[in-house]
Amino acid sequence: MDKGETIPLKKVTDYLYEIPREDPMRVPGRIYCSAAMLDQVRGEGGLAQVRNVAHLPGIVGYSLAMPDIHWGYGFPIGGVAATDPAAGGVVSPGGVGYDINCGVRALTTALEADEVRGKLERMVQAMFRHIPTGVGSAGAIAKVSSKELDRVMRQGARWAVGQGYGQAGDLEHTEEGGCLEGADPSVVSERARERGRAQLGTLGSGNHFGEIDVVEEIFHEDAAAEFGLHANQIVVQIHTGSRGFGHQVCDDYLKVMARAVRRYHLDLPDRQLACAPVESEEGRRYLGAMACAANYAWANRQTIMALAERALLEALGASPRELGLRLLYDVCHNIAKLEDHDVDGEQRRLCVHRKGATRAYPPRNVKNPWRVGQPVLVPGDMGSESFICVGQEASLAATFGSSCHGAGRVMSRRAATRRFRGRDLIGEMRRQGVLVMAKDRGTVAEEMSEAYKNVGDVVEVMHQAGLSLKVARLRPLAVIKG
Amino acid sequence: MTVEERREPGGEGFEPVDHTADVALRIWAADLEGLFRQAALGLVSFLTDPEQVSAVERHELRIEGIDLEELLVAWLGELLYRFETEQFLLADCRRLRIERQGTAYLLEATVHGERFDPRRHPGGTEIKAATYHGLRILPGETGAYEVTVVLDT
Repeated sequence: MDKGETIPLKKVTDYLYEIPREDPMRVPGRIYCSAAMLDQVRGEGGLAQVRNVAHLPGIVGYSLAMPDIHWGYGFPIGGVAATDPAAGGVVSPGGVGYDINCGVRALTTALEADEVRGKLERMVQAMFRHIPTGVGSAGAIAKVSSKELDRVMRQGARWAVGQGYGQAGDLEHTEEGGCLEGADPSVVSERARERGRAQLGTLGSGNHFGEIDVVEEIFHEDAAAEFGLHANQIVVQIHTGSRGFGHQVCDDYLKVMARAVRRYHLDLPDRQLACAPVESEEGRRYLGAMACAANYAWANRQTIMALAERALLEALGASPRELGLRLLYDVCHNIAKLEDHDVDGEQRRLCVHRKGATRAYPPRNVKNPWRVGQPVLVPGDMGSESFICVGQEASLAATFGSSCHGAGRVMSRRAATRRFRGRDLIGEMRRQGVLVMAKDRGTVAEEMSEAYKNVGDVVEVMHQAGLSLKVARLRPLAVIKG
Repeated sequence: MTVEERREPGGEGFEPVDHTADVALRIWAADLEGLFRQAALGLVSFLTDPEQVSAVERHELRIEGIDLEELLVAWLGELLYRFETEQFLLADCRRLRIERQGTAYLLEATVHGERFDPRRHPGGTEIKAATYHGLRILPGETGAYEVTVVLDT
């Protein structure tokens, strides 16, 4: 397999490289990264995937990758691709991924770092007790009936608010108001429903986490003030998605798409890119099912936020007012959405795939209530810093309003496990000032910080390229993992 | 969980292989049935310690695929589904048959295993799905089968 070492790359700016178009690519590829990251980017297959995505029918502009690019299925992680449905543009489940609407929510608190000193152990233990984590985690809330699940699929985060998890105001601070239009429960399989019924309010495993952080540095005073962030403040982050429900929707529709590829005679370089025209029966069904999974994920994160609040209130013996937990914002980073974008001076409705990429809308946008631009949440890996950034005007023309989503792995799970064998990782992290509670110690080894790119380098590229600006840097104090 | 290589008499087995983003399993066997059996055992070894799983209950499974690759993805998908919805962990498959039907394939199996019990079964890596990435099931040079399947975690 050509991993990309031989793919020609042309430098466009210090932070942008281009793969020139060659037949049968329909558009060129473009990768945001620094010169220092280039060797690593070339080494591991993401570039070949950027090139493969450029073959998709109806793709507009460029096949894009953010600096946290790494190898994925079909699409690279960090990939962005927009297709034009009116020109035969396709939707590809591989451009969304198995964890539909995997995303992050950041919560601000009224607590300062000094106030939680000596209480962190209790806080993280309470979170670990209240929020189920790990393989097959279930049972955070009563298993919902199939009928109730229909409402979850249609309403998203609003369903959770209706059940008493959080407040109506939270919806305004959630991408798409926590509910993607077009959800059609009738095209979701019985299997997806079964997998989803018991998993609402659970974190899962892998790179998902719940985290207590402290704001260590403010870069953009104006945006920080609007986001309600200041130095030494305690912030909580939740990173998870649509659990088994979304995984099953993806699995189901990869099968449907494999047949659609034959039916529409689509010529694709990788089976994992299986797709169908947006304007086809298969395309419409997938988008209807995907929206259900996206809404499930928003209901999940909304529920987990409320569980985290209960846990912290209990651990601190504080009143809700003293804790002051508020939703800053919730973003999804695995999704395909129909969005209006300017293409060659003309407004067109495009199907924007973001697979490991975050929407980064500038201030003036109708979908963005923020005066300064939309918050872009970029969590680091376990034990390392995270960033909160703000979307900029330049992202609209350059990346269909997108920015990076995280750190991106550089070391396989097995290599990480070998590297850290025999080390007391939880003890090491504790000495570095990070409390870790995990169901499985193996997960801790796999998720060690050294297995990832430096998230600071990733957000710096986006900052320098002007797609999203750094607002605040967060340092983790305590983490719960699967 | 640290998944170890496993070799069985009769020249079949599986081993985990390096993969940056996720985990992958290389599986080999003398025939297709052995290959699918090893794939199932390999999958379970990511979910928990397979040594701790006993054969106390039994299920009859029937899986279809338009080709062998889809059949393998569907087979592993079925086991993941049973794990998430019924907490069923496979200990072994005592009967497994793959039959060609026109251009498609049918797999029938009797699987044995038990319910996940967090007190006895250590939690491992959550697997979202078996993927089609680079998935090709081909007879090797000696007529034996080999495949590498990437699992999304």
